[in-house]
Amino acid sequence: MIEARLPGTRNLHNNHLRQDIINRSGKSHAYPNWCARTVQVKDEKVMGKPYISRREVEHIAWLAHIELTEEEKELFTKQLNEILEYFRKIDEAETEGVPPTYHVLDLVNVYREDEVEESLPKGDALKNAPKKERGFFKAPKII
Amino acid sequence: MPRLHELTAKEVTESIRSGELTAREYISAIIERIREVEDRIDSFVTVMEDEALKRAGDIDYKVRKGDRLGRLCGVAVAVKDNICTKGIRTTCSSRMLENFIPPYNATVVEKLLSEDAIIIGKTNMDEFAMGSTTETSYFGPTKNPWDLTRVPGGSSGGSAASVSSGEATVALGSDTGGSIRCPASYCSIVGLKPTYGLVSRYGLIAYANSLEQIGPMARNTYDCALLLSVIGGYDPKDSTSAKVEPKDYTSSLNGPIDGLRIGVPEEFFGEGTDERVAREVWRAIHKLEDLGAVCEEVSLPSLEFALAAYYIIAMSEASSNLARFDGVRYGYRVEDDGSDWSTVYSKNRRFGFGPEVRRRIILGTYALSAGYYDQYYLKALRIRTLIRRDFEKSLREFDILAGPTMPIPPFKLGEKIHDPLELYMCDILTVPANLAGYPAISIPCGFIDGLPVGLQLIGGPFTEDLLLRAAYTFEGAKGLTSIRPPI
Repeated sequence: MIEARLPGTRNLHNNHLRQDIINRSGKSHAYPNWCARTVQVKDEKVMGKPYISRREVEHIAWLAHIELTEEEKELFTKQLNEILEYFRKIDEAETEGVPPTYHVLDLVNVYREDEVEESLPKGDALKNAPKKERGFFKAPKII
Repeated sequence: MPRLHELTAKEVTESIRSGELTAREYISAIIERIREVEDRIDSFVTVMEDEALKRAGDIDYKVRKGDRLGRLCGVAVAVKDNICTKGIRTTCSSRMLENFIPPYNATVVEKLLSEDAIIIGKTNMDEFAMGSTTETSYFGPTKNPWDLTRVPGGSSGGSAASVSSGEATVALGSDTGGSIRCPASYCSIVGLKPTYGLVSRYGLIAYANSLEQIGPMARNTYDCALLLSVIGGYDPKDSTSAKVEPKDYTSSLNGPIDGLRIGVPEEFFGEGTDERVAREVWRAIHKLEDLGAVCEEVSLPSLEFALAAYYIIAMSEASSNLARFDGVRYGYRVEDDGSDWSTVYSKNRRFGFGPEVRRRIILGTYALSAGYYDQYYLKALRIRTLIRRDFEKSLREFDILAGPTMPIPPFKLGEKIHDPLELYMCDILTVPANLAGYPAISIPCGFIDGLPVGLQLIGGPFTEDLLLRAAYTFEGAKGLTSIRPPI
């Protein structure tokens, strides 16, 4: 157990919520106390529902094209809930009327002259391809 | 008389120019050192013995001919393995890129070579730079040269360990949320994350593109400044590169720091910061006061939200950046059993990526998905604005901000790796500079029971010269750089 607490957070314990975290993560005190914090208690919290269900994890993994084993689905659901619980800390920030910063340099579009330049030789471009055929990348079956 | 592998970049270049030392002698000594310690430290994914010796021969030939010599002539540079090196495998310490051989050089690599640097190897890292310990590397962890049972920090842990233990003169790392400063702090070296846009990212394999920068790592501030002078400056190949001229950062190191206004954010000394770390860092801040700086406490209230905002943004960008790894043009590919593309991609990415990378891609995909986008990603970007505003405000009042680099001293290998959130917490003091895009440096400032502590200095955009000057002055007064790890 780490003794550290999030700098700048004080007295943010909420025993009810902390209990909830402990129950969901299934371990008694391995969870650092700086992760417990006051949140706006949402309905789903009252119902004791997780932030992300196992079915949702399966769906998101499918969207991201990442296969998960049964054990991983279990483990990731638990870990992702712990992390999302912490992420909800951002709810406490007052951001009404604050514009988002997508990028620190105020760049819009960067253009260059549309000139033909030397490109990578075909052989070089194909060199790292695990599968190739007649000068093409070989993709898996699409239809 | 120091052993050859202990020479600084300044000493190496001067000795080679004067003919006192040949590049071949020096590189041979470095290779000897690698053979001596590498099996205990594991800094490298690839050691480039033959290439390095050959290049050393070329440089010696230039010396004999009387040709102009570059600013890094003969210097052994270790390059993090997410920076592309033409013809040399570049793995990101991932099974996905285990056999990837880039057909081109990153801009920073071209710049190193044009200044006669010698690339000695590619260094171990957390897989795709996702981690703070190098433990997520597919090739196994790097060890801390100060205590082989502890983490060297990460994600540029191999770069830091190689420089710290004398396996390289200097190194390149990359810093998305502290990945240069954290291992610099844990290995007692100097590491600088430049202002976003100062150093070209062309050829850096992307993790979170709006946050990351390549930066220099060295055993002392002069070498760090020298390396930054070589790699900095506008690059048309990187559309997010800033239109700034390259600068010689070594020439301004000697200026005075009289009256330098240093703000000390109270949030950096919250309850998460180990008391012993806080004590060492305060001692360093008082040292800076003795040297003429004026220090005062300041508050940046939005820092409380920085860590959560950082991880949401970094993971969101990662989910998009790492979508390119499908095992078709490059990367790991499972045996084709005639399955459809979706199944094959999903398997390639399951076996090609380690658990932390998969966790971050999945969370990032979640944060960007319909219904959650506003709640997570957009909210985090608004917080990013608040953090920038807090930095802008405090840096109108102060020239630089100072605090610890890491809230806790280097911990044991395996101690935190099974609890992702607990590991994320270690980045709490380094991520704010990335969110704001501001430059930050970590310099050795003391020890706790033989374990290094780093002082972090953060400045306004493109004030690297000021950070380096403060670091250089501090270093000269404190004299810590001569203390090397007991390996």
